Amino acid sequence: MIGLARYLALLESAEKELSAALLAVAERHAREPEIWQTATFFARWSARHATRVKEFRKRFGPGTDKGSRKLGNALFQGVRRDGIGLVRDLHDLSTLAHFVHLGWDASLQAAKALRNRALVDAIGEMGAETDRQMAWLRTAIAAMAAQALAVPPELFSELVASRPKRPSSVPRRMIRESQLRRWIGLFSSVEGP
Amino acid sequence: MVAVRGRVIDRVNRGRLGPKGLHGWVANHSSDRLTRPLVRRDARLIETTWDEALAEVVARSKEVGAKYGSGAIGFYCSGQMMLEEYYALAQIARAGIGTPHLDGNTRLCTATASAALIESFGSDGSPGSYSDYDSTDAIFMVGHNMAETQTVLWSRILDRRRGPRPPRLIVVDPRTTPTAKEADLHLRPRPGTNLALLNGLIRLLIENGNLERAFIDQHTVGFDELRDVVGSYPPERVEEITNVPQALLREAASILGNAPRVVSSCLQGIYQSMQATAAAVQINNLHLIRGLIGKPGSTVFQMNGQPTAQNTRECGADGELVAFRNWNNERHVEELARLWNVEPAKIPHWGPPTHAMQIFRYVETGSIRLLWILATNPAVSLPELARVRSLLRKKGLFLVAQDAFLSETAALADVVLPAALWGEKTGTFTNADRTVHISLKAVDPPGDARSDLDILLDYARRMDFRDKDGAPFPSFTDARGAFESFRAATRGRPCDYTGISYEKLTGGSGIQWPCDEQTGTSRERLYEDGVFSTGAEECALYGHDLETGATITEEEYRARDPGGRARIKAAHWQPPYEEPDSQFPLWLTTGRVVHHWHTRTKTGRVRALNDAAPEAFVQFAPEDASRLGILDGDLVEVESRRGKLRLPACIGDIAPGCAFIPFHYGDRAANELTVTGWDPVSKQPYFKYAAVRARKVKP
Repeated sequence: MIGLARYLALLESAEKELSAALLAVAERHAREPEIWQTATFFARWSARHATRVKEFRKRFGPGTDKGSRKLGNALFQGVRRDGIGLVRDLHDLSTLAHFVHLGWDASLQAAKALRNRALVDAIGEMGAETDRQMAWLRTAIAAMAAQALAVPPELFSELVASRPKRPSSVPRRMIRESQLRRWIGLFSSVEGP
Repeated sequence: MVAVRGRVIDRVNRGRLGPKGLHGWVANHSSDRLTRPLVRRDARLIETTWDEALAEVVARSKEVGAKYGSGAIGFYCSGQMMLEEYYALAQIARAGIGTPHLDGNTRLCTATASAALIESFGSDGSPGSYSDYDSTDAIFMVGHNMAETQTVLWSRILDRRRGPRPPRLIVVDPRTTPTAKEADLHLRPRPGTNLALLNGLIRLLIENGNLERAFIDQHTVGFDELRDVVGSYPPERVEEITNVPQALLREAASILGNAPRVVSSCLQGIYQSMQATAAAVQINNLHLIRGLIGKPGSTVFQMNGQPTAQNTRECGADGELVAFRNWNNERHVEELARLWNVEPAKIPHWGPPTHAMQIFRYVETGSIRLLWILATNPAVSLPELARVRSLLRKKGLFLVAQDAFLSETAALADVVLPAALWGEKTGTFTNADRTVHISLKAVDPPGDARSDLDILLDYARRMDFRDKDGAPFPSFTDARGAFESFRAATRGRPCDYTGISYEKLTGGSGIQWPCDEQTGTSRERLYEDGVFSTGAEECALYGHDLETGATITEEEYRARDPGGRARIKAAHWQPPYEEPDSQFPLWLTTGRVVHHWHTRTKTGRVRALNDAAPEAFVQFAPEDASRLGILDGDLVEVESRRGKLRLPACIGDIAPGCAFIPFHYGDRAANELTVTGWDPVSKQPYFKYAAVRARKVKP
């Protein structure tokens, strides 16, 4: 067994954590349509990455790493319902995405050293998508932080307006039932508040 | 006022008027014009004086500002005020109050036009001119029902179509609109599939070798990315996604790939649907890969939906800063601060200016406590109205409405300020081919009503806004002064107004920008030399990831500075967020009818227009109607997950599986049914798709 197997296992579980966390954040802030839309969209990317990495991981022998799981459990603590809760959730998602990003960096070096062209290409493609996830998370934080952190909230309205109720406007249609079941089967769920 | 006539000398209209131009002024005489300010007392609006009404607005502004900061105050304006008014509003909101929460209802209509122009060419502003329709060989209209939305320009096209060497006409629309009926080729995609269709079209152009290689190499960046993305949209897949037969797609590609000159345009069918900016940019790409831009007879129009939407954008009364300055470029902000004589830190630029849908979200969560709505009617025009009404009625929100009539929105306000209409004030406005016109005051406004500009300037004086030297801010006191100040702020920018004056605008034709002081002449086309406004120092924004909406940072942009080359960007198609299912099996799409405007605040009060289109309706394909047992004129209940409506049915001229409802009618508003969601780049809401069901009901 080589260390790369363990690193790919780390990435596989990290992408599962990220995917599940994106879905959880999307659901929690479903009344922010843009958050819901994009986080759900990105959850599919991360789920796809996890599946793709698994294929490579299997070829390098057994390997496990509980690091991602522990990180995922350490994040997303406390009440996350209002404007500042959303910024904190995006912040934690960025931490996870950054963790994934560094995983790609390290694995890419190994893949190059092993002259494994297919893995180099795959990591290049997936790493580029992780970069785009991180860029969006930064964009969303930049767009929301000032209002959330510098303008005093009106607590009652905020509570009512951020009840974690799905807005009537976004149906469950986008996450197809079968997909949802598959995802739930695949991932351990992220600890909620 | 007794009548309106067109001006033959004018380069845009050549004396022609559409039904709204011909009859719209009648509303100015309505007996229910607002003539006195109103304030809410014991849940009722009662007449009062300007002093009392503005004192109340000023007191609340100061109280909210002091307690919660400028971020607790928001402004939501229009696409129907005048340049001078938007400019004053931009100064007051951005550097008087200092809030990032200023946007126009242009967010609902042309935010994507602006976004797409900036993403591709670096700056807002249509590259071409309406005169390009006079010589073109092919016209491509995507989600653009010109026969009902721009009747005068449509007449110009009909002139060509009935004359020698008529241009071919291709229309993309799920409905068989009057525009589509005129077309040589009509493609009817499913709602929400524009990008797949356009990706497929571009793929065919590339495959057929319909490329201007030299132009691509010298004047663009990003072609390889485009080729890679569209590569996965072969005609078979496009047909599967869009329901447009391969043969029709190929025919369209053949016409658009081979016509020596092409004019394309798009409007709400693109802008208010899925992936608005990505789809609009794909139409820009069609012209870039063929080199058909900046030349007579060839251009792309990212059309405007409202008469003065261009000015909302130019004046920075929406998500940009004045004269297409980049909020993310420190030098642009410093320049603007110098022009206004305020500290740069006063002008919010720590993040993007807040878009309308987010402003309303902040109202909903209670962090915006004072909202001032000018010349627009969100209680009818925003999506998912049940939600909008409840947030406008919120306790703790102080709502100011400025309008000529007691609209559905004004009726919910705490203070209502009566405004003048055109004909009762002087100001300028600019159309989608960059032509600036002047509209002179002919009569006084009724009662105590005042122009939007006068109201805003009175508020500014009472708030005692000052520039950094302690002089009153804004510095101007009337429309001419506002125009002069704006003119100075456009110097050297893509929308250079320095060669335009009230004198030059009066008496003759409208004048196109750019028109600089040195030469004093207008440029009919932008980018004639193939040099675009994409340089890092010049561009209006650094742009976005079109699929995710992530912003490109200054460092990233500078590292690959296109330096004057157009940016070819591409994105993959994504399915819409709501699609028909067993419960809600039909697609709903919304739009306009020719006789009405926006929420009918004026047109509903004009007899000639109202008689022509007195009530809302729902349109079905004959196949769907017969399945549902609905006959023409039957009363039908249409229901989505958000609400329901009862409307008379109208059968025919629409693709099977689709239903259409005009959005104008406040009593039975299509937006009861629409979804809350928006394009990740332009933040324009989705009005063109939602899943609904329909059943016949007893009247």
